[in-house]
Amino acid sequence: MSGESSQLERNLGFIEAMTLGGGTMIGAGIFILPGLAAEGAGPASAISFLIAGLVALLAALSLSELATGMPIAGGSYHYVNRALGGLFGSIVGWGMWTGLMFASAFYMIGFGQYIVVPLAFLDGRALIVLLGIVGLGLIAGINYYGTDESSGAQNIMIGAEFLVVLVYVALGAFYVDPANLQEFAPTGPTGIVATTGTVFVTYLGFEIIATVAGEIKRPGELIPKTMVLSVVSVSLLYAVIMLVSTGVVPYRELGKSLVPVSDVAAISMFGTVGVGAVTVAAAIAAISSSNSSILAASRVIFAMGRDSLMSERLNVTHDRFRTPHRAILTTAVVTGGLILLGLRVQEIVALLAQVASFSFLVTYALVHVAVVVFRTADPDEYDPEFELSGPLYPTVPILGVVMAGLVVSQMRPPVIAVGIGIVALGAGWYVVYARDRAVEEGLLNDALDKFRDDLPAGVPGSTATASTEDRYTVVVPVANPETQHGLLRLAAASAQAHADERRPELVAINVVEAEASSRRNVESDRVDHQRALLSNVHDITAEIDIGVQTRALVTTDAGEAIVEVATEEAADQVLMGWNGTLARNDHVFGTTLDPVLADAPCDVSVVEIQSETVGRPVALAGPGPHAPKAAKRAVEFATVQGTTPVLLNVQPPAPDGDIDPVQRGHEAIAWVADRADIDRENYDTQVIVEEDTESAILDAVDEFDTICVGLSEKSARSRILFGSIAERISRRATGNVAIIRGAEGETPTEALVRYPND
Amino acid sequence: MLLPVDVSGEYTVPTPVLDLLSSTHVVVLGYYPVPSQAAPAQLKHQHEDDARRQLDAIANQLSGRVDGVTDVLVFTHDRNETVDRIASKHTADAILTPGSVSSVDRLLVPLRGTSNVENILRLVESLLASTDAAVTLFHATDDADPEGHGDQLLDSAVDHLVESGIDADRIDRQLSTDEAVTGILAAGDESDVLVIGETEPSLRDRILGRVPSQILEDADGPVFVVRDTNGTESEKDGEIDAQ
Repeated sequence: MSGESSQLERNLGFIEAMTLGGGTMIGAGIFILPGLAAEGAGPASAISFLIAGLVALLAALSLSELATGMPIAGGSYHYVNRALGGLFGSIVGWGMWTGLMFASAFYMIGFGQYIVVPLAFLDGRALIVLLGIVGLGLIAGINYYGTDESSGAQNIMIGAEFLVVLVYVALGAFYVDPANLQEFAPTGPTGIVATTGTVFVTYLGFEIIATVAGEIKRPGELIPKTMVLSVVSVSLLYAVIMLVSTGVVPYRELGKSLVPVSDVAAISMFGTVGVGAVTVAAAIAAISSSNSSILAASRVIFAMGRDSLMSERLNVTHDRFRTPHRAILTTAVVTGGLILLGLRVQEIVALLAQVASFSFLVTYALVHVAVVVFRTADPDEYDPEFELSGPLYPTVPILGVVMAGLVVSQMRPPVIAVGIGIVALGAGWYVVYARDRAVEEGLLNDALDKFRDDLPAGVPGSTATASTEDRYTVVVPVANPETQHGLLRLAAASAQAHADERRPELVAINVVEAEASSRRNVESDRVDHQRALLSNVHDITAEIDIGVQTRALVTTDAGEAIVEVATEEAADQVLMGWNGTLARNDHVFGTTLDPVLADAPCDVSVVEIQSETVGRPVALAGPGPHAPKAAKRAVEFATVQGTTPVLLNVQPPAPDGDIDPVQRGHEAIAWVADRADIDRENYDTQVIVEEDTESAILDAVDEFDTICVGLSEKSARSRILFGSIAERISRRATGNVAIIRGAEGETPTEALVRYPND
Repeated sequence: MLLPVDVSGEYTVPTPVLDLLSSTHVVVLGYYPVPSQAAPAQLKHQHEDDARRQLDAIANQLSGRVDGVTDVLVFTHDRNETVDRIASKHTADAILTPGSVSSVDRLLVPLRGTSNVENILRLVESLLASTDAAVTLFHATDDADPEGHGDQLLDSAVDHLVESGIDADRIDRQLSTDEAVTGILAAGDESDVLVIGETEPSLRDRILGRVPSQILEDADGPVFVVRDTNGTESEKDGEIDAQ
């Protein structure tokens, strides 16, 4: 009846995504930045906008690839965290959050300026700050109570605002005085680049599209389209606006103005009417941009919480309004504090814009690195619909990092200081709070390994395989939360038993079986699994001191993926769970277990976990190629609770004159123990003499908590046959049952020949 | 039959509605509304178990009483979009807003025109088959309607129902000259269940709301909105993001 698990609807179409991204970009920036830009670079600030647009376009291209590969909430933060691990994840997460707060404060001060300055009876910095705070309070309140996506009010408002901007450009073009543009670049190239750092703040709108990537319809198509389209169109629009504005009002005057667009409108848009229209449009712009920033900020905080880089208490949603009210309030309070700084700091607007730009430039530089890491590590689930192809890769990431560095290098020292402070905050947060909780290990090591593998032999650093020789690695695929603890414990015991010669290591993997397609939010599944996996692994490592790696994989064939991981890791053993039932038809254990038993290049233990107690294990030291490995596992599992395992052998009563069956049994056990290289003091023996050996075994093993049975293998060519005795044990036993298969190479036929009993 | 239910709170389907549904396969769509401030994944993360429990409770209530239940749980910013998508995915013939009702004695079936009439009458047949309720076929005309189109529409609808074995005594017909929405709501006062046809939204409807949604908001009792499966179905936006 109840079938599939729950779905997440993708509600944002082209218009909604453009409103969020493009709306934020043409929003507040357009009304405030022309003044700052004119002051910084004169009419040539049009070029600053184009440079900033290029930096943004490069970032948008890289982000598009990552976002279509993993359409999930969190944007750049998520991709960097996944690629480079928790430290950089924390830096980018904090950078984005604070960047959005700085940008929001910037918009709201602009909001105050546009209302206060044109009205003759209002005056003063305090009033600007006050209005900014009131506006922010309004936005925070609305967001606290929650809004509906379907309300068209915001679309209509942004449409009206956009119309005002177009009229401004169209009418202004007639009033351009070429003389004003004579002195085109008064501050020279350095001034132009420095101004880029100020105006870049406006381009963080496309990042907002990436932060809501999990909610966008047809993400493979719409994410790249809306991001690139909004960046390109906004860049061109801004360049034209700068030429028009500095053409109408000389850049020196414009630069001193708090309300540059109003000043121009007073000349070109019929005086008061134009000023009124611009004031209304600027207010709408500030509010909608600030609103989008708060939406984006709460997605980033949610994504950080999901990876345990942020307290989940911040992400609790309101019982009635269902909004992440704590995250919203926190964001609003800090933003309010930044607005209040406007009382003291003269150049607050420029400072806010530049710090926000700094944060996002650092973020985008890391995004470019993340693309390279993803391309190199190439995890199974990474299959972006939009790919940087041909000359774009690796040109885009490399050029992106260089350009971001160039813009940052021209920023003013105080801005760089604050920016570095924010980076340090992220790094410090990771060290103090998040390091022990972080979920993602990052793909960086995978990428470096792959990179080394690609180097020709003999080059230093290409000896990646050497270290695997010193490790005893057990791969543990876990899926069922009820049994994974038991599995990990047995695997740890098995690995620890080799601690004398080699360093024990566990690789816990969780395989999400899924068709990678835009119709599923596979990445969101993967993150959930990774999280569950890690919390369990932490429990284990709290008990036992052992090195653990965790990997959550998304693949279409779980069995094959496990074999692949075992091969990659040069594993010594795969230990995996089994529900105790046999598949009929074409498979023996099932579609996942069969390929592992058939193809894994190492020992395989298939364990049915039925009891918390490992207790005293018993191994069937009977005929069969894998009996020695079963005995070996019994010895290893016994260490979990410090017991001595029993090797059991059942003999039929001897016909007259033959050797004593009890003695024959002990010989068989000794042979198995010898083959398994187990010392005599490490096991007890039990020999039963009974006509019906099968039922004798079944009766005997009943009292043990853990039973190890070798897999019976009739011939190397035929498919694995599960021995009848093992099957009957697993049906009847209430304890844990482990079916053991040794690695290939220890040829079963040889073992059979030399077995004294056969 | 698609039954959308808000699973962020408790809900039980009224018993008379269960009786009406006894011969239909019901797809229960448990939707969890998500404000634009949160990612759907965030509410799923925190409330999936609760939502699943609510949905299971409703599915359990239905199973045994109706002819098969499928349940779907979706976290969404926009209920209507999800309802449309799930309805077309499961090829539901109608969407039920159950409302509250104590007993079902009379169905009201407003007919707009000839389009979609077959689907509407097919549903009416199956609803009438499982109860003793009577039905009022209703048509609102703009003007005097001198050529009697409304009359003809209602006549052929009555014939259709009688032919398919509904007792003629159970069928009433009503021709009204009121404006559609007020007319339907006025006539609805005497009936318990409303069966209306889906309409393709015009531009005016998109801005002011469709006739069905206006009725849905004002009607207290159960409302069946019959989907127009003859029209073009746009699959383009039916993006699924199954988890």
